[in-house]
Amino acid sequence: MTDEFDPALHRALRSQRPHQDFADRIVARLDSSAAPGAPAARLYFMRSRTFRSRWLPAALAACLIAGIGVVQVRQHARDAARANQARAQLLEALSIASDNVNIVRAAVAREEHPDS
Amino acid sequence: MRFRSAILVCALLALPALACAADPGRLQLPDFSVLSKKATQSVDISLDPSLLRLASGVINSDDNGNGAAVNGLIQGIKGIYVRSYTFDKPGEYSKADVKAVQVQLLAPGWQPIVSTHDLKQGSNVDIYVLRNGNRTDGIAIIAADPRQLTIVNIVGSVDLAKLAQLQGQFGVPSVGLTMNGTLPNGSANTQAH
Repeated sequence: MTDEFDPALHRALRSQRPHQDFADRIVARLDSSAAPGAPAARLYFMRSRTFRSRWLPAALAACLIAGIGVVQVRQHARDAARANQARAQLLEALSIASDNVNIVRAAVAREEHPDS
Repeated sequence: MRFRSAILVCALLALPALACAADPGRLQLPDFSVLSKKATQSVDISLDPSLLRLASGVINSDDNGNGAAVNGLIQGIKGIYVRSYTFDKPGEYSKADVKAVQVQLLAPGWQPIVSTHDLKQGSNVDIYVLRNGNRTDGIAIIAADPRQLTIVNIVGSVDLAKLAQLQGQFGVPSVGLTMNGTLPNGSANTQAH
């Protein structure tokens, strides 16, 4: 029993050279198996193109609008700060001028009515 | 080429003169940076027409309803320039500093309208007006006492009576220049021109 089994195992596991058309068959099998996967690859490509043709411009436009908005808000804040500073300076300038005019007015009033 | 350069240099030199001609009521205030360094308090305000417009836009009813009064007052004003320096001891500024401004007020059109001289405290307040017919093109106020020098130049027309009424309003306290708006009785020498 053992004597028959060993030669049978040797025969079964002996090295064999592949057939002449082995490589062609492998390539043919790969080609046939690649065909069903093609729609997935195409879908990815389509997705990529969709992103590039639709979402990318939209994202860029959104970024542009957001950027313009930020610049506008900053500009407005700067203008408001400048206006408030100008307002404070104007009031201070008028106050100083007013004080001096009143000094003169008080002096003039005293000259005109020394008894009061 | 040299001729063109000469013309360019002349044009550049003429620019300040042209600017003055555009605003005849504007004085060329000297560089008081030295005084500013010595002063304990200094005010340096330069409001040109664009800044005045900007300020006018934010002076509204939130100023206790006086915004309209201020906006009315500054209607005819093209610019306000103030330099004020307070020192902790007398004699920190020279007569030359004041003279540099006073000499410009000798130009045709400028008239001194009133001057007060407080002999006791050594303080003077002079008000000049630049008249062009019935129109006022500028006002200059020079207030000098031993510890304080204030120069105000208002370009354009302003009602001095209305200006006087603004004292202490808008939450801006009276700055208490020289004598806090009052003169000791009998110590002041007033000249109305």
